[in-house]
Amino acid sequence: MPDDTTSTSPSAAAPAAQDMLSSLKSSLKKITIEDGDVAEELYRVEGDLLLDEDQLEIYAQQREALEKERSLQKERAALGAGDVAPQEGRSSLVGVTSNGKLVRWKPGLVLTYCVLKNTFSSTERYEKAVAGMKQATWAWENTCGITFQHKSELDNSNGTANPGTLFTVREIDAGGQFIAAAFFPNDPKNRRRVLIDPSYFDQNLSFDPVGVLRHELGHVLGFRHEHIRSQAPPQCPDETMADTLDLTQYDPQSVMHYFCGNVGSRTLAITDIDRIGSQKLYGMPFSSFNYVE
Amino acid sequence: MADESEKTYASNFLDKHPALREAMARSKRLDELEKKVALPKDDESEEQLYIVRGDTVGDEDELYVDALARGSNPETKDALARELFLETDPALQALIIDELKK
Repeated sequence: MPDDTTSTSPSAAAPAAQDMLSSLKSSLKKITIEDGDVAEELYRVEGDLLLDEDQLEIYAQQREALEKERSLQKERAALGAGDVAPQEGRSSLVGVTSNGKLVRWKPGLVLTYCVLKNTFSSTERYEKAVAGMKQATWAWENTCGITFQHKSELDNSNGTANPGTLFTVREIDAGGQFIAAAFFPNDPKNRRRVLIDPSYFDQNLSFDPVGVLRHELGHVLGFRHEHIRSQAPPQCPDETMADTLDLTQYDPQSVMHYFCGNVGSRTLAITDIDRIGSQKLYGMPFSSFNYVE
Repeated sequence: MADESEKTYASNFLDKHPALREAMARSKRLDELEKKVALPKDDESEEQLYIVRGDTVGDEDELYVDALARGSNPETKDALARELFLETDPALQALIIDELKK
């Protein structure tokens, strides 16, 4: 993942976003970072993010957009509209489409997986992958209406072939070209693998390892990279935009955003905007309902 | 070989534009890219896959189409993708920008 710096200069924010910006500036804690003779004042948001003035302006625009989105959701709910209908014309979480329709797993399908122990170069690495997957799947299950299931009894299967789960998780030495890699729901079945490069286990990995798996599982659920949006910094890698649909507004802190152009997050946490986008595709998490028989 | 229902966007795109598929076959730089991002295979019968879009996996068609999309940006830092894009004639370049970057 590129780790560039940027000179992003946000355009003038809309009046509502300016109000949000003023409000944030007055309420957020300021932290001064000194580097030799230079001191920079940064705003601390969401616990562990430090933003400069420009970044805060972008953040304010997103917060304002999110507030609008929530307000619209409430209006729709009051009118009895569902939670999952995609709203076209809003800009991004970016969904995969095929023949003009969003791609998602079939309702009710449990996404089973196993972690192929024999592909890992040590038990310690295997256990770290199992634990990471447990946390990452839990995070998505608590975000939207999806269920993963670890078929641990298949972890000791021989070879690399899929022993009967929807997808497998394995270590593969890709020479550090990625930390981990994944697939989309509409990819051919033989590509349904979450691949983990040895670099994932590096003590000095600059990303939260569970966050890396949250990101990969985002692909598994059908989400493309957030930084391919036109609003992302120009330093972020390009990709084809064909067969995609914007689910929410651009979210530079999205779990699906690379750390590029000084934007993104190394924690790769699922944000409120990710939650909105993923619920448009999969609905609310199953844990949010009382089921009646 | 994927069946028709599993055909990727990239394969459909190249099938729809035979001139682009011909450009792919003629490309002098595609081999270089393939070597760079080929995923190790477990056995000879396995389909050769490549790392595309940073952290997902795809076949040769997806690799080529993804590189063209990236290479269509004059500011790209991916010199090889840019060269692949510039190997195509101007009409195809316009098509790539129009169809892949919309």
